[in-house]
Amino acid sequence: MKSFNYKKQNDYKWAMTIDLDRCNGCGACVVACQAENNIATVGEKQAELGRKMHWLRIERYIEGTYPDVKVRFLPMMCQHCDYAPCESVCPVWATYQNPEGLNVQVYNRCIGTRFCGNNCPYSVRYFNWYDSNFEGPESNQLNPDVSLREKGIMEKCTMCMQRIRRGKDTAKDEGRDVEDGEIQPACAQTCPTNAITFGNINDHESKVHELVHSGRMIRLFEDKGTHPSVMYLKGGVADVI
Amino acid sequence: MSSISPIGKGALAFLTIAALGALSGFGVNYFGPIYLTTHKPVQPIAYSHKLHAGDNKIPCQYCHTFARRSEMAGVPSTQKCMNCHEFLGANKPEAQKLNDYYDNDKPIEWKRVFDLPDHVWFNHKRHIRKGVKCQKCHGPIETMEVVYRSNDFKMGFCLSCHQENGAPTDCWTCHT
Repeated sequence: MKSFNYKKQNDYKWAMTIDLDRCNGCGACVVACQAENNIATVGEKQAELGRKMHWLRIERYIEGTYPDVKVRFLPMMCQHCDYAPCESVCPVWATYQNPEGLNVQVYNRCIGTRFCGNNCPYSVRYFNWYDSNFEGPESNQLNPDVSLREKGIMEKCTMCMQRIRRGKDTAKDEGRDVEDGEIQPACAQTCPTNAITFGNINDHESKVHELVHSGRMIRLFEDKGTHPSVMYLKGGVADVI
Repeated sequence: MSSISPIGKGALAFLTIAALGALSGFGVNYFGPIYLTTHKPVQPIAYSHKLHAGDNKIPCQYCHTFARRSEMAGVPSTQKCMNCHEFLGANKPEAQKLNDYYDNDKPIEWKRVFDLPDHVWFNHKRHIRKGVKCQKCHGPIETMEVVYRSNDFKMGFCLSCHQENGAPTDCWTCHT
């Protein structure tokens, strides 16, 4: 399979690894993502209808019966596929692949057909059924770098684009490239066991490059040929997922 | 019998709905007075950019110091005005208004002239350090007695300049 040559267009190709042996399912990343990206809460009723909006969610797999029970966790967010099924079905090009290997969702271009959410094999795109209602003290904790989404549009994980932009901004002021570990998405920053690593995979000395080539790397639904930028590390000992 | 044809009635109804739509929700965001080129609010103090930046040739960034340091250009503090106006023209009526604000420890409530919609992220620092002149976007500020919105700041306005200068045109450069 041919691969995008991001080196030609841009020096950065963002990627993320999630170590499934380190993840203990605490959910700190979910909360961090919610706070960082101004994600709306929908309430019990709407959540029952499947309208909850967590850009990052912890999937839980339970094996065996009591008392021999094993629980496995898998943090699931937008996989930022190189060959993204969501992109080809958008009628207004609101979602596309950007030169840094991220799957972009342009909120102000989206018209809310929800084709992309339907076509995503990972079910990580979320539709705004209502306007976000941050009232009272809630509005004081909103992140000013992230826009509030309106009713009727799709949203999803952006790999904390506002942080990438800020990191690149600082690097440009100092006349250098972004260093490894300088940019951290909210989930990676919060993870207590350091299971999540983010970095530039084009930089062959980066931590993420080392982890991807450690032989433990798996991609989800690899048979679909989506070629995700989010990669999971499974242990040699434990049979993870 | 009415003189308006059925088609005319339909058009009239459409226009009414469009006008109502423009007044509420979407309209306030995109067609409100702050996004029109005629936007020229009355400020609490009749400050003249023509006098300060034009005639007296004070550099823009003497007052708007944050423009080269952060996303926001920033409005100068009352203390900054008082650097000069403690002595210069202190008996003029507008300077006395300023003095009142300063003595009562109150910020001056300037009306915003240049604003972008919330889904646009703009960084002053990046543009200033690249060497883009303030007037390129804000118009001939040094000739304005009362500042008005001289450009429409639609996406085409940003994009044409970005394409000319080889600046990034990826959507996520400005929209997240």
